[in-house]
Amino acid sequence: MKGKLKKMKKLLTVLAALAVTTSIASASAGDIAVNVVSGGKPGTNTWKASGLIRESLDNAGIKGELVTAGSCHKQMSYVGKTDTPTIFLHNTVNLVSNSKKGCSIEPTEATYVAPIYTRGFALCSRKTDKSFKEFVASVDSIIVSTASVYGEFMFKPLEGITGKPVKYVPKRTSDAIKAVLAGDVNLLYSGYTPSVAKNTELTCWGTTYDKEVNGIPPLTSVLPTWKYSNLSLGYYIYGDDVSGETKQRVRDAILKGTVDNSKLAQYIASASMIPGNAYAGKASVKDFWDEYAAWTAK
Amino acid sequence: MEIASLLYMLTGSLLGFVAGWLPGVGAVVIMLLSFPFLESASLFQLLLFYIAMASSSQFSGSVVATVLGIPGEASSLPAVKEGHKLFINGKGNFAISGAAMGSVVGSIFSVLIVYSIMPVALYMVKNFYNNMIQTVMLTVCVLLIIFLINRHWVINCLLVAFGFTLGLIGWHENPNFVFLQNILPYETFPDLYEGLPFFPVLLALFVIPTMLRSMQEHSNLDNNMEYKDNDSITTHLKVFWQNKYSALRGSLLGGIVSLVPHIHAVLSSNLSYALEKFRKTRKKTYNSKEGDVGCLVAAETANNATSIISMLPLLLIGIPITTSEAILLVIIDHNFYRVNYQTIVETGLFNLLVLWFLASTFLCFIFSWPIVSYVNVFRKISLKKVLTATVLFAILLMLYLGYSNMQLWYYLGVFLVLLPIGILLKRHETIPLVIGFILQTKLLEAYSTFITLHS
Repeated sequence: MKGKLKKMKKLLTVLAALAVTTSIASASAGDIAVNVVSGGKPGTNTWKASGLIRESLDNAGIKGELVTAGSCHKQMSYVGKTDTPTIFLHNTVNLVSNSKKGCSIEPTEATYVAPIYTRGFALCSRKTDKSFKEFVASVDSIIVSTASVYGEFMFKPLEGITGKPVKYVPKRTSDAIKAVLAGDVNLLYSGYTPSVAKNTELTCWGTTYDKEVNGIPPLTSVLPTWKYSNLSLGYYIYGDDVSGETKQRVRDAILKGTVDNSKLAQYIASASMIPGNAYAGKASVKDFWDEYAAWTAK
Repeated sequence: MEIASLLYMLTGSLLGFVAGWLPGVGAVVIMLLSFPFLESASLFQLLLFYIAMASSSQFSGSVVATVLGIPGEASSLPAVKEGHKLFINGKGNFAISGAAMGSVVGSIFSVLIVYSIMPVALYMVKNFYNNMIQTVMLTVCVLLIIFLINRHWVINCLLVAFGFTLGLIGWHENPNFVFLQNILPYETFPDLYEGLPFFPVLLALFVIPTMLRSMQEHSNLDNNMEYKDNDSITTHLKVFWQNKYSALRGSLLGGIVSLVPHIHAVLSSNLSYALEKFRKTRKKTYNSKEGDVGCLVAAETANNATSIISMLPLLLIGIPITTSEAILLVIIDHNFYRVNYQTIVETGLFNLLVLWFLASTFLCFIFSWPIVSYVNVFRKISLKKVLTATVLFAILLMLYLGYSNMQLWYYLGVFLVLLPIGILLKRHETIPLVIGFILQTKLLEAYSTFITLHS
């Protein structure tokens, strides 16, 4: 009986040692946890992209949660409370928009993790067979609808370019699309998102990409003198308490996710965006501030 | 394929039914919780799940509103008013059957409307969002609420204005401003930028005043709260038949306001209720003492009449008009499907969807009337205890919602600040206040756009 017990003890000791060795080995292979926080509410593009970022981290073996904060303040409140390294999607337009609500998140070398994608903008109207020149000639005034973050100052120069008075109606993107389809406004300025790209009831005159996208020419060929014709929006990953090896692993996972077969890569491709992997070597915090200056220049 | 679709329909119906029971747990919460389950669904299954879920919550919302007197959905406010009164007076069976039959009529009516307008639906949906149409429609809705509820139009006007002012708190997109930025403590409580959360406002300014009034009005009732139905099906059908025109009026109104973004169900049921009550009061046929089946039927028919029609913008032009639809669209995009007239109508998918929707409606009907005696879990509990337990339950739910939204203290704070006002308003009908709060964003945006376009 005693012999059996001894054998059992030995067996248990070996098993325990094995378990400890395995867990140490897996930990040394890099068991890190990084949470992804969405500053956008459920249903928004930010929320959707945050879910895809989480998926890319999962694919790279980086554990963690997806937290839907829904606003800049809640995002920062969460970041301040958690001990887990946290990342989130950020861009210059977010900074402009959140500053109006008393919440500024300014990137630094320490918090800049990786570029993820660049989204172009589109200028569209209700479905028509006309050319842009014919369209301009057919309206008494240009009434443009866009999110309030893209200030009225951006569209005032169109008066000089088109010779028509310009009115500005700020709306959320989905409401702006409804307004253009209903005929309240005749021009939509919006990020070239899937809801714009897939909408068969819209005619887009141009996008701010430098190449033709889905048969839509670059806006620089339609409005060559408009200062915002080639202005796109770079999205990047902001990290809190993300440094050293963790930062490098997160960066690698995200950049890989923008071009592999993951849903993040498919999402980027579906809206014809430029994946971060294509320009990661050249991107830095300075680009953020250069872009900020361009977006806010009056 | 059919078995998998059946599974999606049953799950959607079941979850929607549960969502209808629980205040604050609406379609948005269900869609978020169901996200992983829906990732592998086909486009048809996604739409089927959503429509079954959205429709069934309207059925069950009226059951819990009738039995407990709390609105599972904001569209169940009339059921709280009339249904619960009928229940307390021993006529809960007619409230339940009237709401269930009205919901079926509304659902069928919405299908008929959709098919009758289908040849021009694309054109209609696009033009419905014309600012002039929206401005006129929203203004008429507010005026009807002000002038039709209880005939105290001055008080109603003040209540709408108060609700509107509460809705103004926070940051706004169009026109772009922060309300009373230098007066309200935005820096100390940055959550204020997002505006006041709906559930604490509803609880403090509608549910609690209604409960307090209910306690006072029925304090001498010896009520064991048991749901009894000793009447034959023929009697139920007769009672419903007596209110057939209320059902038709509700269906028509529900159909008209179906495309109002975000608030179509709430607006249709409350507006339909107000109109029916006004009509009956004028004709001196309104039963204010025991509750009025006709008013309840009109409201319940109206909110179900919005079910299929409200999805047309999403189905035909790929534009969501509610948050839950936006989440559905994210899942649709996530799975790389497209929704537009070509993929939904021209492929015949819409016809199939309607058939399954009717099957789901039938299922919900069974659960919300013929076998509804499961509500007797509440039997033999005193009215006071039920009302107290309901309020406590609603407060706990509010705290849970605040916690899950990372705003626990904010929710509690808003509730506590507004509660004294709610108690002061207990003698008044506060539906106009709730409507003012809900409609504020849409009204402000419509008027602001109107001024920009016509200046």
